[in-house]
Amino acid sequence: MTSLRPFHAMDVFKFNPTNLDPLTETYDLNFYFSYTARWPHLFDVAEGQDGTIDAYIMGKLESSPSFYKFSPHYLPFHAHITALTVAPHARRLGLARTLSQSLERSGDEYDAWFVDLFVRKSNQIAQKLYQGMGYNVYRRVLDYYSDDPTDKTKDGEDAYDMRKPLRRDKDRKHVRENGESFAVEPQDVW
Amino acid sequence: MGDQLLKDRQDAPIWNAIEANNFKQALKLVDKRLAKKHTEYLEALKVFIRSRSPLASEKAAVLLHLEGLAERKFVLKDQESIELYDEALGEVMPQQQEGWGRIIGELRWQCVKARPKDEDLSLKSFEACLGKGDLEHAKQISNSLEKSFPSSHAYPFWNIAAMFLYSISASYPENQRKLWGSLAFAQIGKLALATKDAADPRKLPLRSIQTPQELLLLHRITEANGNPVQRLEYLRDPSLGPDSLVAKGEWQLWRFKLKLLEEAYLWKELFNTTRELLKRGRTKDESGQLVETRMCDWLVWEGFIRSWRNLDGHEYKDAVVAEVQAHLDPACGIDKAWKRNASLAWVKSSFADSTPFYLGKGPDKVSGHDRIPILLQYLHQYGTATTAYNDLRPFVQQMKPEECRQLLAVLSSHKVFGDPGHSKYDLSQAREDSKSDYEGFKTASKLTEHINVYKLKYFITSRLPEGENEPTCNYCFEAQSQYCASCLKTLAHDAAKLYLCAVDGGRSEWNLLPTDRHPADDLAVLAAMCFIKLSKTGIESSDEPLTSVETSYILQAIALLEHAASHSQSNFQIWLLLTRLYIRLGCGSMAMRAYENLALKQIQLDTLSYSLFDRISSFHPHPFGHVLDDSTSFKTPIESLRKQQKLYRGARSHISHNSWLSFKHGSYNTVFELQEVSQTLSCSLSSVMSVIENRKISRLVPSSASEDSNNGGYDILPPNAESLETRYADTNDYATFPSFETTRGPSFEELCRVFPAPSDYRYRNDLATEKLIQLVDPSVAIAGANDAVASDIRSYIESNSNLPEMDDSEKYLTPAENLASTAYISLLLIVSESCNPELWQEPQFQAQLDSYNKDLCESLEGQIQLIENAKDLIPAFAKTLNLLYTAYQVGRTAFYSSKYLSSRGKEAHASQLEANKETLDLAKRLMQIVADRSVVVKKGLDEGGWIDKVLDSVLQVPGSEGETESVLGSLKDLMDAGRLEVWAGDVVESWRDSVVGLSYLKALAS
Repeated sequence: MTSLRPFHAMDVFKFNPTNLDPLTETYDLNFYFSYTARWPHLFDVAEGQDGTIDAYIMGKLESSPSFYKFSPHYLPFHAHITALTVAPHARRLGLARTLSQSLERSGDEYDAWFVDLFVRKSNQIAQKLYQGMGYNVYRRVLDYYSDDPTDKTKDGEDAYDMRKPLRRDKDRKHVRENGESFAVEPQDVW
Repeated sequence: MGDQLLKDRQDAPIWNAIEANNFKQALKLVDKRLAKKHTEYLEALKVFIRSRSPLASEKAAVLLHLEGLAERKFVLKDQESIELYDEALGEVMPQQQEGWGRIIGELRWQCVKARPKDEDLSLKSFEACLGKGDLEHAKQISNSLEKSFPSSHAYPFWNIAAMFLYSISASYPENQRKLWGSLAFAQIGKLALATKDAADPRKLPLRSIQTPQELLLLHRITEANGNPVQRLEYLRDPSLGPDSLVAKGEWQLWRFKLKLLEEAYLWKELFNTTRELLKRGRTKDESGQLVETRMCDWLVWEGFIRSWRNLDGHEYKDAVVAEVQAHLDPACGIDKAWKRNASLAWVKSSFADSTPFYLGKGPDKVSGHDRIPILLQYLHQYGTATTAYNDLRPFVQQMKPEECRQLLAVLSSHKVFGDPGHSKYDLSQAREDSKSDYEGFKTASKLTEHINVYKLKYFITSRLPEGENEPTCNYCFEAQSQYCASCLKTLAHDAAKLYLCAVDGGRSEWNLLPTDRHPADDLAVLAAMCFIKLSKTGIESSDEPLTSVETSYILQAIALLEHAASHSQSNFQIWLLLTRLYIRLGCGSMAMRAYENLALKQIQLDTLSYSLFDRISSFHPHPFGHVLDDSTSFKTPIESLRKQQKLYRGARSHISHNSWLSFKHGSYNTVFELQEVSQTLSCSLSSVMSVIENRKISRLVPSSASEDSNNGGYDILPPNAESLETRYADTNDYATFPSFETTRGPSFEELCRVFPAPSDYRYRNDLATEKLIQLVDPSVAIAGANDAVASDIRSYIESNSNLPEMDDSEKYLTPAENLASTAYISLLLIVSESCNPELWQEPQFQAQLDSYNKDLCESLEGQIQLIENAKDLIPAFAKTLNLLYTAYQVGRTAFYSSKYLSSRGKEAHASQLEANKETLDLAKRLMQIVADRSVVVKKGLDEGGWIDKVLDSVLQVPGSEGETESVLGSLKDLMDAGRLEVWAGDVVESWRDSVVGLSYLKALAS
C-alpha cells in the first residue's frame, strides 16, 4: 500500500528503516527540524503497513540572493530536492517517482520555475530514474562531492545538476540540452 | 561571547580577562570603569563576572541581585545588559526553567513593555522566552507585537499560537490554561470567518487565514477547544477546505476530512468524497497529465471501501468494482505505486464482502468469493517486491484454519512461481553448470518471489490456530504446545538451503553495488527465526550449556546470520538480530561488533541504544578487550553512554532554535510538533537508561579522572525523575527488527528477547535505588548533600504510597532483578522510616519496620539460593552474568545501608541497629558467594576445547533422539568450514572477554 503524509517532527524516532541504510545519511536534529520549520509542505513521508516509514523526500523552495541577480549562475525561484530516500524493503515500488511528483506539484502550487537536484556522476541508476521522470542534466559541477565511492584514489567526484521545468516555465528557458558538457565550479553553485 | 556583547572599545581589557578566565582581574577592571562612569551595562557586566566565580557565596549574591531586579520590575535600557544578566543566571542556576521565567523572562517583558515599538527588541525577547519555555512572557510579548504592529499579517497568528502553546503546557495553572485556550480558539475562529466572508478569495483582508499552515493551526486549536462538527464545517467550506486557494493542495486537510467523516459515521458523504478523489486521481488534465495522482492514496481507498460496507445498496459495491477496474485498466496510466493500491483494494474488498466479488473478464476472471486465488493473483503481480508479504499478511491472518491449509498446500506445491530448483543443487556440479540452469533462484526478482512464498509458509506453519484447546499444526496436524518443531525444522532446512545455494559464488554473481543488500538475505533471516523458535521447543536443563538443544539452535541461527552478514554488510536487520543473539550467549564483544555495524548516529542513539546498552552494567560493564579480525577497537560502554547523552544536550538548542524559526516562517504546525519532540526527549526511556547504566558502571569499574568528573548525566533528566509525576516516553525502536509474525500477536523482537524490555517500572525503581546508593555508599556520596537526598527519598516514598506492585514485576524484571527490587524497596523504607523520629510513636511503626526487614532478609536469602541453584554457569550466558552482577550490587547496597544506619547512632531507631546485624551478615554471604562463583566461571573458560564444543553444537544437535545432525550440519558442504572455525574461535574469545568484569565482584571486608 502507498500512503503519503507530511513529515511530522516525531518521525525522527521512526525513520530507522530508511536511515539505517548506508546510502542515507542521518544528520543532527537541526537539519530535519530546520526543514520542517521552513518548508513543512515539501517534506513528505510514504507510509507502509502499520505506519512504517518506507520513504521520504525533503525539499525546499528558494532562489539565489538578489545580489547574485546578474550572475550567469543565478537561480530563479525553484524547488530543490535535498534528500530522497527509500527503505531497502520498499524499493521497486515506484515510491521515488511518487514522492518526486508530490514535490513537483508543490513547486507548481508555489509558482516555482523548476525542480532541481544534485546526483553523483557515477550514480547512473539515479540519473536514469530522474531522466525517466523528465529531468535533464543542466550542468556539471566539478568536484562537487569531496569523495568518490567508486574510486578511493580520487579526492572528489563531479555532480550533475538535473532539472525538470515546472508549469511556469512554458518556454523551457531554464533547461538546456547537453548539460553534461556545461561545466561549472562548486563556488558557482549557490 | 565578548565579540557579541562588547559595547565599548574601552571594555576590551575586561573581556580579555574574562576570556582568559582571570575573573579577579576582570572584576578589578570593571570596578575601575564603574568608578569613572556608572552605566547599566557595566553594572550587568560586573554581575556577569561575579556569576563566573566558583564561590557559592558569590553565586548566591548574584541570584539575589537578579531576583531583586525582577521583583522591582526594573526596566533595562539596552539589549546587551539583558543578555549579560541572562548569561549570569545560566551560570548560577543552570537548567532552571522556572527560575529563568521569573527573573530573566520578567526583565525581558518589562523592556518590551517599556518600548513596544522596538520590534527588534520584542523579537529577540520573544525568541529567548520561547527557547527557555517561558510561555507566560512569550504570550505577553506576542500580544504586544500584535498590538504594536497592526499592519502585520503574521503577529496575530504568533499571538494565537503562543496562547495555544501556553494552554497545552502542563507547567501552568489549569484555569489559566483553559482561559488562554478559549481565547486562542475565539481569535482564530474570527480569522477563519474573515476568510470565509471575503468577497474575493484572491484579495483576502489582512486579518484572515491565508496559508495552509494557518489552516492547520485552525484545526489544531479547534480540535482541542471546539468540536468535530466545527472542523468538518471548515473542511466543507470552499474558502477554507482542502480544495480552497488558501490550502494550496495541503494533503493533510484531506486526511482530516476523511477521518472526521468516518468518525461521524457520515458514510454517504465519505463514499462520495473518496469516490470523487479516486476519480480525480486517475483523470488527466488538459495537457494529458495525471496531476492529482496523490488522490489515489491508500487512505482514500480505505475510506471508500469502509463507507461502501456501511451503506445499503448494490450500487455502492458496483461503484467500488468500477473504480478498481478503472484504476487497473492499462490505459489509465497511473504509476505502479498507485496501481498497487487499487490491486490491494480489490483484495481488501474481497475479504470484506461475503458475496461474490468479480473482477476481470474471460479466463482471468476470478471470483472474490474464493479468497485464495485472489491472494495468489496479487502475489503474482507484486511478488517481485519485498512488500508483497507485508501487504498480504493482514488478509492471511483473517483466513480460517482450513483456508490456511489449502493455501499452504498450494504454496508448497511450487504452483505459484515454479520450483526454485535448489533441492537438486549440487555444490560441485554447480560450479560447472551455467547460471541459467538455476534461473529459478538466480535473479533478484525470482528470488524475491520465492522469499515471499517462504514468508507466507512460515507465517502459516509457525502459527498455530488461535483459540483451540489442543492446537494442532496447520500443516502436519500434530498436536503442539507452542510451535510445530517438525514443520519449523523442515522450513528452516529448506530456506537455509535455498539461501546458501543463492549466495554460492559470492556477490559478484549478482552484480551488486557495495552498498546493496543481497536479495537472498531474508531467507537467512527466516531460517534463523525458525532456529530461534526451535530453541524454545526443547528446553531441558543441562549442566553444560553447549550440549543443550536450545544452545545448538541459537548457535545455528548465529552461524547462518554471520554467513549472511559476510555477503551483505549493509543489512541492518541481520546486525540487529546478531546483537540480540550474542547478548543472549554472553558474548559482549561480538554483540558490540554487531551493534557497531549498525553505525548509529544522532537520534538513532536514542532509539536503538537499548539494543545493546540496556542492562550493560550487568552484562559487560568493563572495556572491550577482545579485538576482532578487523582490529577495530570499540568504545567502552561508558564512552558510548556519554556519547548518547551528548545527543540530548545538543537537541535542546536544536529544538528551541527551530521553534523560533517556525514562528518566523509561519510554520505554526511545526511549533507544536517540536514541542512534542522536546517533551519526549526530555525524559525518554533511553535517556533514563543512559544515566542509570552510566552510574552503575562508574561504581563498579575504575575510571579515569576525566570520567570521574561526570555525575552520570543527571543533568539530561528532569529533577526527581523517579517521581511518578514524571512521564517517561518510550522512543525505543522495536519495529525495525525483522518480523514475519502475525500483527495480532507479539513481534519477533518480543519473541527473541533475552530479558524483559526496557520499562518505566524498572527505570523508576532504578532511579530511586540510585538515590539510596547516593545516601549510603561512601564511594559515591556527595558531601553535604545527605539531607537533600534523604528528603528526596522521603518524598519519593510519600508520593508512591502504592509502591510498585510485586504481582506483575516478573513482566519487567529478571528473577535476580525481581528479588533485588524487593530488597531495594525494603531498604528505601527502612532507611527513610527508621531515621524519621516523627514516625516512631505511630502504633504500627515497629510492626512495619519488622516487616521491611523480613522482606529484605528473605530477598537476600532468595538471591543466595538463586546463585547456589544456578546450573550451566560455563560459559557464562547473559542470564548468568545478570544474576551475578545484580546479586553483587544488591549485596553491596545492603552492606552499605547497614553501615550507614549503624553510623547514625541515636538518629536511627534502636530496634533497627539489631536488625542491621542480620542484614550485614546476609549481605556479606551474598557477596562472598558471588565472588566464589565468579572465580569458578573465569577458571572454567581458561580450559581448552571450547572451539570444538561450539562447532559440535552448531553441526550436531546433541541429545535429540534419532537425529544426530543439525540443520546446518546437513548443509555444511555449502558453508565455509574455515570461516566457521574462525568464528567459533571469536565466540570463545568473546566469552573470555565477557567474564573479565567479574573480577570486580569481590567480597567486602567488614
